[in-house]
Amino acid sequence: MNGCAQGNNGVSRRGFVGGMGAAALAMLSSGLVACGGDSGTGSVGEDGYKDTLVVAAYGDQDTLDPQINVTNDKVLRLLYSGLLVVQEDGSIAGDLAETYDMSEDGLTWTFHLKEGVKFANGEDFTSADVVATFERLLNPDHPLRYTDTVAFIDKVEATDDYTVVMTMNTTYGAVEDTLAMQCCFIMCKSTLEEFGYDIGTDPETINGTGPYKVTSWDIDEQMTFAVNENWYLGEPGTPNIIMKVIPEASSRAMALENGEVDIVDRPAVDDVERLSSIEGLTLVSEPGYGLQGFQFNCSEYSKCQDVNVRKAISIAIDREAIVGSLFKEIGETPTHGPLVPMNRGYVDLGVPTRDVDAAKQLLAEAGVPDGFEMTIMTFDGYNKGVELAEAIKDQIADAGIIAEIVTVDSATFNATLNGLTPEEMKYDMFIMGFGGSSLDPDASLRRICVTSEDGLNTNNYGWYSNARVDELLNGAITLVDQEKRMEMYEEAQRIIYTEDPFAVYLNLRNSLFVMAEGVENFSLNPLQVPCFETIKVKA
Amino acid sequence: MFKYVVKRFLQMLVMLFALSVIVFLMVRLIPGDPVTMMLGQGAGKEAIAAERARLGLDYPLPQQYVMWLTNVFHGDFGTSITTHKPVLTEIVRRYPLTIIIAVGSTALSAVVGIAFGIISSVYHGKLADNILMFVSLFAVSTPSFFLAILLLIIFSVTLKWFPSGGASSWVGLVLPIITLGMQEVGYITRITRSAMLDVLGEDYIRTSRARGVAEHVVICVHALKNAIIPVLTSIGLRFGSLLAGATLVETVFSLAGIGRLTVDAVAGRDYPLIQGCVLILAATFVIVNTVVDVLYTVADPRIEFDS
Amino acid sequence: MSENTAPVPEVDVESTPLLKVRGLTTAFKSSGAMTNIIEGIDFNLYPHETLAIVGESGCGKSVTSLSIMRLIQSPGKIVGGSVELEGTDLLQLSEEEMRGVRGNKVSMIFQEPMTSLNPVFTVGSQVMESFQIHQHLSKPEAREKTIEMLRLVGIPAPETVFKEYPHELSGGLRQRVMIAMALACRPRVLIADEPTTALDVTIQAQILRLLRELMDETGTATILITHDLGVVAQIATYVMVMYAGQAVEYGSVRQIIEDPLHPYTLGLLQCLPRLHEKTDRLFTIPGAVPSPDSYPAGCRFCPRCNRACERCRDERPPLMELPDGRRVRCWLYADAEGAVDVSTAAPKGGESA
Repeated sequence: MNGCAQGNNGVSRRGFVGGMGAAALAMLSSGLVACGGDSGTGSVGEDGYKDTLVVAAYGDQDTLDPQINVTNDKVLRLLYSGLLVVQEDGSIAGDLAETYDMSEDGLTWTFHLKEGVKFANGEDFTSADVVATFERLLNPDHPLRYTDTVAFIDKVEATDDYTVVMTMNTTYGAVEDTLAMQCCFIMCKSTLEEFGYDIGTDPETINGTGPYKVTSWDIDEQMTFAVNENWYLGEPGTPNIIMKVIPEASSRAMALENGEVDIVDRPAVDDVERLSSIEGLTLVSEPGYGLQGFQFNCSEYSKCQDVNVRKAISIAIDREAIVGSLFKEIGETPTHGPLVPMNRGYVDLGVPTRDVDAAKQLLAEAGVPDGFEMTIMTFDGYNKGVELAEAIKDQIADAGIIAEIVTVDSATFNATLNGLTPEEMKYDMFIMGFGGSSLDPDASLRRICVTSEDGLNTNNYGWYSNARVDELLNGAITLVDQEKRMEMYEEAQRIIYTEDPFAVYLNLRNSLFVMAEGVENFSLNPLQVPCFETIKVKA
Repeated sequence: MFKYVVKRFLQMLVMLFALSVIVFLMVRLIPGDPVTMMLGQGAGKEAIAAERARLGLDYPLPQQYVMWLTNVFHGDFGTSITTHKPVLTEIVRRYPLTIIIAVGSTALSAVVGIAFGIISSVYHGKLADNILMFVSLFAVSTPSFFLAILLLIIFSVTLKWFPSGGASSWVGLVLPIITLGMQEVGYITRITRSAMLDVLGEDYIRTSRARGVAEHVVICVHALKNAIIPVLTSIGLRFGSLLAGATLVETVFSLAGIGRLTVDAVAGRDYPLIQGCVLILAATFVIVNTVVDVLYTVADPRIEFDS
Repeated sequence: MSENTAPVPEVDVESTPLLKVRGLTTAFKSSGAMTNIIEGIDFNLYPHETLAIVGESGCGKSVTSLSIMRLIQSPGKIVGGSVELEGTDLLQLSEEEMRGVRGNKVSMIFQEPMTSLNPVFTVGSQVMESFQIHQHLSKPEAREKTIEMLRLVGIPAPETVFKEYPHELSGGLRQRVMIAMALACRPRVLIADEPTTALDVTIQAQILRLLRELMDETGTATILITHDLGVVAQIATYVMVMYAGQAVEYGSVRQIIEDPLHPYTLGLLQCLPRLHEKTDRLFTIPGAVPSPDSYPAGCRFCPRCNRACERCRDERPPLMELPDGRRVRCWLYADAEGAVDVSTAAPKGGESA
């Protein structure tokens, strides 16, 4: 039998425990003194506006080199500008190029540069910078991500300090839209000489003509911007910007509710309803960011090769119902064609109505009256990617088509759509986003719809092949007559959307932002990119 | 002891070598290509091919491995495919934060867990014991992700005591450390309790009491020093899952630690970065367990290094 | 069985006893009810004396010693009696006061030296602790005294042993360390619970000799708990025989061994094998010790007694004190000449004596 003294043992035991509890509490409460919530988001100016705008981003930039950048377009436009720019109404105007003109034959373009523009480091902007920028982008020995995009340019020369002449190697219908893209932002020659291909990761390598300059960049944490005093267009609304990387959607929402950030880029769809009902928070949900849908695999190894099968699937799906129920909170609507309304040459082709009988009819014509089995690949990196696949599966089942859904991760998704042969492709349909970084329809259509030259699915992921579409798209890009071009694109859209379906287009994506009460002048440009430089934040 | 540490260090190197081969092969065998992911699908074929050549991804696998290994011996862990920065720089930048959180939560959970375990064992069968056992069960069963969000909602959004993320000040580390430590508290409480119950039943505790030693000394010095061994073991072994759990915590609290870096590297198939991260995480785990082994011998003189 | 050759010290019955135990009763809770494990234990202890408490396993010897030390743990509880140490009733002290007594005025050494020392602390630090707690000595002072103490108990190279851990020492050395720990503060009473049971016979002899020497030197009184009558013969002054929680016989060692009265004591002595006798079988007392919740109505030894009678079955025998100072609890002597009934009433909470 073991001994344990009777009586008041408790005193010393409790004393010990109590002491530790008190210590822990003391530690915690001293933390309260430092007080969380708002940590250094700048001061308030005399006019009552904050001097720092804080934005919560869902991911970080990969690089700030415009000729390589993949991530998104929100940041580059704060640091650089280009020869041309897309205006609010969608038309193209000169930016760093004061005026410009095209030769009769369309092969020579002359740009008259704005004078008195300075880079962030104080150097003057001249034609030498334009030449250096394009030399780098066009360099065949070191192709960059966007080298292909400007392949129509033969050479770029400076005739004097403020005149640049570009010679194209073919007539090209989308010159202006391309030059207005972010990959054509102008970089400073001396910076290029100093840093070469190392531009983009260190703040000191970034020297542009935009409203801001980068003052610090903690990768995956935050990027800070300060006003570029040399900006040729005046002053931005708020002198400083901090972009915080908050990968978890709920954490972004909380940061906004806490007052730690002013704007949240891409809140979680499930948070949208809750956030917009909180007093003082505003939801911005603008359509036109891109399209989402399921693309067909049209190769001879796919169940969807036959046009009638594709038409059948397309008509068996009730887009209104699916989009209406899944995207109700954010207000996304079904697409009316393979382009977004803001695209030049956009045609409203309506939303197909569901007709299961017609679908069965088409299947009969295709020789599979009782339906068949197929696989659909989906990926939850797309908004509601899995739910959309499930919805489609349910609906085409009514026509006798049994679909198996395979959900993959991002790397596998990318691997499947990257230079496979038709035999290697395992899926008959796959989720996809559509859109381009320019308003010209060529950017959204040609690469992905034109028959693959080498038989691999490098750009045309589903081996779509329609001779007339090839003719139209390849022809339209070389024409300079914009009216003629748009006619050809209209015909192409009809074929792609209805006659020889390229994909089942579902919803028109909205860009989503939630912001705090004091945020003023928030706007999106025609490409759905937020213009942070005009924003003022009332304290 | 010095010889023992050296021996363990050499063992660690062998293990890391084997691990590096395994990881090297594994990431290259799964589908997905870092260059395509980095350059994006719009990139031209030439651009992709050129980049692959530049990154040395065209050589046969054994040669790639040897090249990598040779560089490692020169202190060069390669360049990250996604950030274009040296892998070692990236790791050195992100590692300390994770370690601070991991050590912080280990310390917190050890202090709290051991205290709870002692109280539980001393009052065993009574109300305090039942309450603490319930609390520890709750701690062990609650997923850290859920707990993180719950703590944020209560302490950050509602009470505004802590920021919702970031490590700008040490205040921002409190919630992550508590989240990560919670599960550990559950384990440590239970292990301490059972170890203490065993020890308190031993003869030498009776001897201590018979000598008139104060009860709190009997429990917290005489008994605890014996009971601490299995607790140390548990802490060492669970450090691995702690590092894994750190990834979730880093995501929810927007902390730029090595957990998130590793996961992002895998998602982006950033081979050199994956290799570097995995090696350093494995090395950390081994070092921690070596430290625990050394601590055993300090705590229990019956254990010798050779055994 | 060797004889105790040392003369029995003269006991001056007029002087105050060092330890006066009266009616000590301890109960344990089993299946809801409190059952007395030991009842009405009485004895006096004088300096230089060794009282051997003898009996089979389960008779309550250890419970008695733990009760004196107040080391009884729930579900056990001391329910009655008094334990006066130099006039102070230990049972009335507060826990803190009692802690000042344990290891200081009253010490205990246990049966298992293997497990009775804390394995993760050095032997020296454990002995030192006694000095630090009770005498509030500084570390260097305590260290010095510890080494002295280790030397005193016959440990060779005490400075080296000081730094060693229990697992590095032999059983005999460990027991010496325990003795050193127990005697460090020069306690008035030493309780030794089967101190040599776990040791080799040769070591046993050494330890016993050591104990005797130390007792003589310091005047400490000893309570020696043992089931080994051989040990009793070697160092005891008085013997108390316990059975089923009660004292059944009490007397000087000579009286008990040469002239046992109680049938149980007789039985115990008969159990001892004799070297010069040839037997096929060793003697055992038939039957087994009853468990506390099923004690017989009359004498507890009755079922196993070879001299039982009707009265034994139905009535509890009183504790009688005989003219020569011996006490015995047996109907055989209830009517002896000059016998006085000295039973103490046991408190409520259990069965009465």
